[in-house]
Amino acid sequence: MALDLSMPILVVDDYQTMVRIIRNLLKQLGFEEVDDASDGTAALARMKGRKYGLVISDWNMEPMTGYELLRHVRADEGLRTTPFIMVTAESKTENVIAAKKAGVNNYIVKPFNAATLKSKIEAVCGS
Amino acid sequence: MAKAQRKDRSEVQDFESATIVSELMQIADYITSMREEIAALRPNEMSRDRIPMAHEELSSVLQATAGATDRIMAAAEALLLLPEGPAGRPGLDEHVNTIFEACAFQDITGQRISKVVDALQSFEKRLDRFIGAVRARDAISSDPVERARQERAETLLLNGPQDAAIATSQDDIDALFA
Repeated sequence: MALDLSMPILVVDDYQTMVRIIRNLLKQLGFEEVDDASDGTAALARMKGRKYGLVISDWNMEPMTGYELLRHVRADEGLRTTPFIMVTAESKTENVIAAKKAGVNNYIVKPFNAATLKSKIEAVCGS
Repeated sequence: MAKAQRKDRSEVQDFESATIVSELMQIADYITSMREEIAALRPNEMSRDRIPMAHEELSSVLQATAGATDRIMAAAEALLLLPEGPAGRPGLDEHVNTIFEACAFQDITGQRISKVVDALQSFEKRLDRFIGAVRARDAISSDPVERARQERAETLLLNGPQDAAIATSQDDIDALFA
């Protein structure tokens, strides 16, 4: 499946090691334009300044969680079509259903592997 | 008539006094027993030794795992930059050895975590005994910070990682998005 490897991706996670892991995996997949933010508020600020082809976000962050970020993005006229993948340790069914209702494009449970990340990105962004 | 009334009143007062004395003795016994139960909790030992020890051990575990993760990731990132073929072999050996060495953190952290688990099991036993002895019931939390934390967690579905047995699997999640 063809992926636009030049599209900018925003990784949102308050745990710098996880940002580093996802950055490296994205690099392995061929993505070079990767930005990061440590919570939803910082992510929204970045999204106002740059159009991202994909947001990969954790759920549990402070002050703004990934779930709140998702709802903000989907409520914003200029951002609502941005593909959004949740990558989180929140593995209760109620979390998955809530994220789906809020408009998430895909959902990955931590810990995950490179193949899972790749297949979800392809499913969400592949043309 | 008046004499009989005085006698009745005196008997009532004697009875009330005896009852009060008996209740006071029961209260005194209860307080004595409560003091013994609190002493059995060894609260000073908990707050002076065991809880600070658990804090220190867990902080050390956090530092050790963060340090090891950083070394392993740095080595893996360096491996990706090595030239292909024999020219990369010395670097390969060096970085693989770094990864092996960094993985040794598990032995030390395992021992530190065991100490914390032992302390928690000791607290659990003492608290169970205390709860049984005083028939304690939980009051609704009056700490506004704790209440706010609980409300935020409920509203934003901050459930945290689940036990593998009850967590939704990636396959089940994928089925929801199919």
